[in-house]
Amino acid sequence: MKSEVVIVGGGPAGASSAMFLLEQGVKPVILEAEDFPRYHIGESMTGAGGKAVRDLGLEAEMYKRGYPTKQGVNVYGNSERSSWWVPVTGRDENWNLFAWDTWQVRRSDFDKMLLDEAVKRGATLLKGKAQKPILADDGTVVGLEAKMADGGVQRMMSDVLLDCSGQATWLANTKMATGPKYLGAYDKQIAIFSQVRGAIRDHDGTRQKHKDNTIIFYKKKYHWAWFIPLDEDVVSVGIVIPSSYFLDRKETPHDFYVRELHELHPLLAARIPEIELAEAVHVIPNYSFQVKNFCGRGFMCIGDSHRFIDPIFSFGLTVAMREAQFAAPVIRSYLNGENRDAANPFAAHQLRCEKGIDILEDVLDSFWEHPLAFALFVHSRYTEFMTDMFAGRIYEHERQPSPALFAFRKLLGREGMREASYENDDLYSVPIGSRYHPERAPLWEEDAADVETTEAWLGPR
Amino acid sequence: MSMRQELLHFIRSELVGGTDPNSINEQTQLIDSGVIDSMALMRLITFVEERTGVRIPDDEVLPDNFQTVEEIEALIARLKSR
Repeated sequence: MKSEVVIVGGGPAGASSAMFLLEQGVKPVILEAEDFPRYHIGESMTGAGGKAVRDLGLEAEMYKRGYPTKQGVNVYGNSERSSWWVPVTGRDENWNLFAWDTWQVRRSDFDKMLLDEAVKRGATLLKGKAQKPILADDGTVVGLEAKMADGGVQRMMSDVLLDCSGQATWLANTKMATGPKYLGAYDKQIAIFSQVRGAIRDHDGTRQKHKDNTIIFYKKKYHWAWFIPLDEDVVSVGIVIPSSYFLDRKETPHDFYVRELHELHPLLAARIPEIELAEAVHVIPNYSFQVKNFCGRGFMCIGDSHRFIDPIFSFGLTVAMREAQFAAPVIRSYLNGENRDAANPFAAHQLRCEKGIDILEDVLDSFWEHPLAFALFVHSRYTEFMTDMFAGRIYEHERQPSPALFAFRKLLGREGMREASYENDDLYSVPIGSRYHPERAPLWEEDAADVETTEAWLGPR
Repeated sequence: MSMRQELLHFIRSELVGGTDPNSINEQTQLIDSGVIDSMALMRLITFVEERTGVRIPDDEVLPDNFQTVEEIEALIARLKSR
């Protein structure tokens, strides 16, 4: 079979890509191995993520489904007074800020809604598992081989193949098209999470204390928890810690989780007087990675399939859906014949995405390395720019890099400005840290190659 | 009042939580010992900027610069001489 665009993975990256492509008159095929609904983590959106959902015409559907409306993020540091909050915002056509709602979503339900909607609008959904890409003699990706649900192997030819496989990083793991996959800056971290019933929520009628807001509690560097309401009763709570700390405790994930709910932060403990779990305890270790050259002749990787940094400020859904939105017109032009002979027809798209996520990474690094400056910038010095970053307005056309980001880069590169060079694909020059460096131990081990689905990657249920 | 006295007065009267204000002198460790928290530190930075007319540059917003009243004085002097 042949389709202009074949999409590997039917999660939010894949379903959004399909719907934005349909708006461009492209009818894609989506290949998905699993039956939806299925459990997935990554439940919160930012302001810009909410905008992507609205751009897909789904605002009414989101309210109809009753997803909790997130109006801001409260962050509690190690003393009750050292807390701060950032509202969820949008920008109007004159770039004026306005208060907005975004959503917390139970991913099993939300992902199915998106995928069903993509099919309703004209995408073709096939059940099967991508095996390997098909390459032309010059290295262009021209399709893939898939093992279909009926057991047969099918060759699916494409002008553009989109890898939307999430943290399974299907295309990178085949080592046939993308650049190498490296460990990211937060690869020593581990996330342990579940869902809790009956947690005590805020509710004083203000946006700041809205019952459905995200709350982040941090105990100390790299040791924190998220609190994300999923409906009137259930809250997703995750504990994130250095792997070494978890291993030293010698506890099962369940016992570790329950103890941390009590001990991590007094304000978290106070919200969960009795622990009743609504979901098994899940574990994701060493989650941070980056794939170089994630776009090229005949292919693009979207969302987590090329990079994941850290879950702390809930950028996953936002980045996946926004990259899908950016990709669609680029693919349309390519199908019209633009850039067909370029060494990388999608180089500009790739650079735009890379620079945006580099900004996110600088924000996250600054949160941990320079908490005082971070809090000062949020509270007074760069409040508006920090609001933009929390909303996920991180791309160059969104007035980035902002003065706040320049300040962070100065702080992070104490002997000079921390900068990434984008001129050579393999030689990112970063003065401190090593997270972009090719010598950083590659996540390129045999066992990683066996990971075929996001669920497998997510570990034991 | 000298800058030192003003800083001490502000910290003693406005910022300390549970600590005895009279126990604080120019060498008291303000941050590491938990005398003031991050919110108080931000108010202190604002106070210093308003009182001296010196803006603390973004890349000097580091706890080490505010550990003691003496160090804050040194920072102000350094910034004024730039």
